[in-house]
Amino acid sequence: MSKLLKYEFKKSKNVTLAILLITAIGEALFLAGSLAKSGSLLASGALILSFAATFGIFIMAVLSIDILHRELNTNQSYMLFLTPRNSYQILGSKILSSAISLSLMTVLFAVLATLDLLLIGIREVGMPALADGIRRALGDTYLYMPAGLIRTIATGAAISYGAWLFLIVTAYFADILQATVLRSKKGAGWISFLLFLVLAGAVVFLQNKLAPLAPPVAETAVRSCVFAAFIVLFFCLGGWIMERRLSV
Amino acid sequence: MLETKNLVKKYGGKTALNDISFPIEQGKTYLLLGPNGSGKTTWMKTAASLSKPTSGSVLWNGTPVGVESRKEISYMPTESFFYPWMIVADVGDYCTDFFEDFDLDQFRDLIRDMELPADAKVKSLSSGMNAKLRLAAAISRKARVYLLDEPLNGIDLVARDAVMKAVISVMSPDTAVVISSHLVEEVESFVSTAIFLRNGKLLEITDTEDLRTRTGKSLADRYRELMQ
Repeated sequence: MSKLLKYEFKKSKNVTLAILLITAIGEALFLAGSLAKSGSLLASGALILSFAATFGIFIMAVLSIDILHRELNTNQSYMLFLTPRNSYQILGSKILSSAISLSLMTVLFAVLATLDLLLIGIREVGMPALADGIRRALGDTYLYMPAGLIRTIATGAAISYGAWLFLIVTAYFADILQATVLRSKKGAGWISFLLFLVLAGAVVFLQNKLAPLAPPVAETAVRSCVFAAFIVLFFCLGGWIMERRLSV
Repeated sequence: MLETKNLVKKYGGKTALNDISFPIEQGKTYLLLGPNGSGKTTWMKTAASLSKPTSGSVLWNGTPVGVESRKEISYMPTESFFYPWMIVADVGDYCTDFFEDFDLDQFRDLIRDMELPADAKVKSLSSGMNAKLRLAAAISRKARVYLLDEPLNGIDLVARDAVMKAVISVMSPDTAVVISSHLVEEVESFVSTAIFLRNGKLLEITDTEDLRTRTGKSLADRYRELMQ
């Protein structure tokens, strides 16, 4: 599995480096603007960082789906399917690499955003005033209940992360259906895209029905569990279909 | 060791392989012969467990080909399939990572003998050079069965000797080699059995030595007779 994972990262190396390079340029402009007190540099840096954060994660997801599509539909598939690895290992390594990339990107941009905002705050108003501002912005509840703040951030992050990973795995599953049961059918690409929309919509619908049934404190957990359950289900079903039906 | 049993493969409405059965035995070298579209590549892909049969099976030591057989069957496809970002040396590293029987030193020797630059980008290779690379990757494994699909395709006359020398080097009493080629004369001298396919059907399995001594005919003659 580790070998498969290594090559999954290699496949997206160039795009990852491009995103990191753009992020580094944005960060350099932001820091330069902050030090030189140049509004235009600061704004340019912030703009580039925002774009890198928003589109970087999106591009990485689309790239991973495109790679799977090529490896199911072109001769590149031989690189994977000639190796003594089963479909579950191959699909699992793809999901794992997407999950790791998504985690690292999220952490990177979250850390950069936090540090940059703190830096700006300290430069503009100084540390005591900034701390006071944060305290007032967050309110007394969070000041005296830091666990509550952490819980809110953690649940928000878990839901967003789960939703994003769920969408990637659903797209993988739709792509597998296109390359197996729908292969040689007219409009297989469009049908699989529609399947992706229907499956994603149905799971969100189910989630919205189930979550309110749980106590308010467990609502986020229910939503996360629904995403996790369908990630596992689509992984198992996708691997099973590949093992039995995939001809490359 | 590799047994094809009542194998049928259909693509949509087209039947690529129609109920074919034959064994592949160790110590023998087979030549798979047939016109374009006769099912040679489809059989190889099925035997390499890249393609699933519609019905019937290809058995490796009694069980259907799959993950286990891939450990011992080496396949050289007829098309380029390496990742475009790879350089020639990366192919050796990739095979080392995934195949326990891969001999990296032998791979390096082969690419040197075939004049393939180790630092050349795979996507920049000509079709002939790419074929050499695919062959080097396939025969650098210490496999039990080698399936070589058109190993001479796109390779110039001078380089063919080096390629054939490399192919002959993997023949041993413990291995079976299956070659698919239109260049019958080039490979006839070292092939023990010819398998003739046409329109997905098995026409004949011929022992080449027997054919020569019994009828005085070459494989090319027999091919013309069967395909006309």
